[in-house]
Amino acid sequence: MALARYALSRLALMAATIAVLVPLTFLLFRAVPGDPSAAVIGPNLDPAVQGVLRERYGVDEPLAIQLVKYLGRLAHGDLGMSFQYKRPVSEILAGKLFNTGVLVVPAIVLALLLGTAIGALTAASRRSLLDRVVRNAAFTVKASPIFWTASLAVLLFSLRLDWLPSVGMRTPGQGDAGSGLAAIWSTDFLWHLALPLAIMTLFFMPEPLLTMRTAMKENLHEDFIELAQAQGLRRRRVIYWHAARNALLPVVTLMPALTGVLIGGQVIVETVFSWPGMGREIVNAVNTYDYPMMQGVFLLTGLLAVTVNTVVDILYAYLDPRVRLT
Amino acid sequence: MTRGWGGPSRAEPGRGWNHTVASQTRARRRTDLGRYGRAALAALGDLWRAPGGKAAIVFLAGFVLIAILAPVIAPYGPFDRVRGGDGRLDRLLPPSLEHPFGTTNFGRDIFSQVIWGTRRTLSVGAVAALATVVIGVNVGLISGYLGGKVDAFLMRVTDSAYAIPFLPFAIVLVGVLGRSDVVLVLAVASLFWRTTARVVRSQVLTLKERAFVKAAVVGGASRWRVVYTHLAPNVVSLALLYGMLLVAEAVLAEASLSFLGLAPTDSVSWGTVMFDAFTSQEMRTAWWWALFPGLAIMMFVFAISLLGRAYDAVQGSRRDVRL
Repeated sequence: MALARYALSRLALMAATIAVLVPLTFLLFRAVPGDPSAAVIGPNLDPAVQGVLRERYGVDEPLAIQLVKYLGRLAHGDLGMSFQYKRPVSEILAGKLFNTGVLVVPAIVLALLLGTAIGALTAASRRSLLDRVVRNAAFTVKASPIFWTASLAVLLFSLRLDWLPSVGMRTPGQGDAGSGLAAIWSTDFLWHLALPLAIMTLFFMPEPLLTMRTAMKENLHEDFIELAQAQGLRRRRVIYWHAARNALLPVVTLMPALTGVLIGGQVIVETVFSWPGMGREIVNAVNTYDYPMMQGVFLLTGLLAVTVNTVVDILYAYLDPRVRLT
Repeated sequence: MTRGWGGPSRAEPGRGWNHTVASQTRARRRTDLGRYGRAALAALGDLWRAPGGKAAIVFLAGFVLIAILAPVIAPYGPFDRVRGGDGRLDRLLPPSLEHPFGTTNFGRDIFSQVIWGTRRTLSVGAVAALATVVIGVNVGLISGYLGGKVDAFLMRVTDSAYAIPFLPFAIVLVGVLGRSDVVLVLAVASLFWRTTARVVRSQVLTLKERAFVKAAVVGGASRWRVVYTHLAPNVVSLALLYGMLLVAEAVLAEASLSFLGLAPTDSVSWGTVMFDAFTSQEMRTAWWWALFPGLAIMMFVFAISLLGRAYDAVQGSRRDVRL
């Protein structure tokens, strides 16, 4: 019951955040000097033609009406026409979202698995040297800007050793491998995925690792651990069953704070590896003054981040009943 | 955190009772400033004595010194094209005694670029961090002390600031307002105040139950006087720490935007050097071009994270790992 109430309150907060995010996205783009359509309407055009274009982009109406119309179109999944591609933004972004997903989802899963495992191992290890090395390595990775690690990886593994490709999702000329699962079920794709995936995983790993390590160390001094040991359970079972299970909770709480970081990392990795995803598209849109595209990507990332955070919060409340009470 | 770092400020209340009103106010302002100054010094002292604190502070001071002395240290200007003895451009030379970090495809000395870049990187970082901390501390103080509806409203705004992913936001802001350092500062300041606001608020919530605050209220101090004379000096140490962490965050933000080609190109920062290296298509040979500016960023951010760890050692606290 308490869980349902908590979930409802989280959903209400999510709705409130979206209610702020959407108009904000709209207004942000009215801050463009002149108006956004100035990017496609040249100042030398025939004033009559300018008027027609203005009407087509709907920028000749009062701001409030524009906002209402924007919301109306949004409700139908219409994100406007891309200036650059002359196609609906939603159509283009659907493909880009998929491309981003096939890189970022495996990266999150791998980073969480490896990070928590290594964190738990080092915390439980009695060799303090291993612990120190791992901890400092994690801090070093955390301090390294991702575009630097990515560039150095390209330099070493692609340009020098020529082991892995540094550009794109598949070898040109291999043909479009189709859509959906068929597109990613090929060795050529996996070969292209390896390096960006490794970089994203490495980038994302220090946080779960360090959090898991700290939480484990604290848990190992808790009463229930001593009780388990006093009952004569084997050390390994105590550590990896009793302590690790509870140490996973702080790792879950960490997730919402990290979505923004993860999205930022993704933008950069896509740029370095010319990965045709949403992150590369938003940078591209800025360079080509494609305002509807910028607006679309920004809105979509914002909505994704809000949704993920809400889901994680509810999941956390499910895992740790203490949260629901507050 | 249950205790203010270094405890409540021990500054005496203004002792101007036998002077005119004007000099009373002056005296009061002086002691207020004194409280902030003493709190900041105490905080720095604690960090200096903490394990790893000395190293971090010396290291960071070194970076600041490099930024200030850039014209003295750098052998060339950031955009100088260096020519060899035979009058030809020194293109893509590997690191040597003459060019410790090598040269670019235009014959620019990368060592000089990194040294000059320290200037812009650090100043943009510092200004952004300062603006952010000022917003965060004030939101936290007001939210925590006033409570009620103001608190509820400000905390919802803080939640929304957490919901917006930074880099897409900054990219869009550049797309809308153009490429400039002001836009970068604006982007950092309009989102990253959130963590400072939260930690300051929770600190204020415990501080306002303490005797010295209650005494001030009973003594007839106005709300603003309580907040800015009695509470604020006690969050100076927190503000200082988050200010430092924010410098690192702002430096990374500046570098990321520069690397994406979204920074002004008329001056050099660590990020713009990386951008040039990446877009030059010369990375296959010129490994040094990307290596050194990135190393500078990494060392700077690492030193600040050392400072964060020193703070944790002093406080026995665990902070949120990300801002």
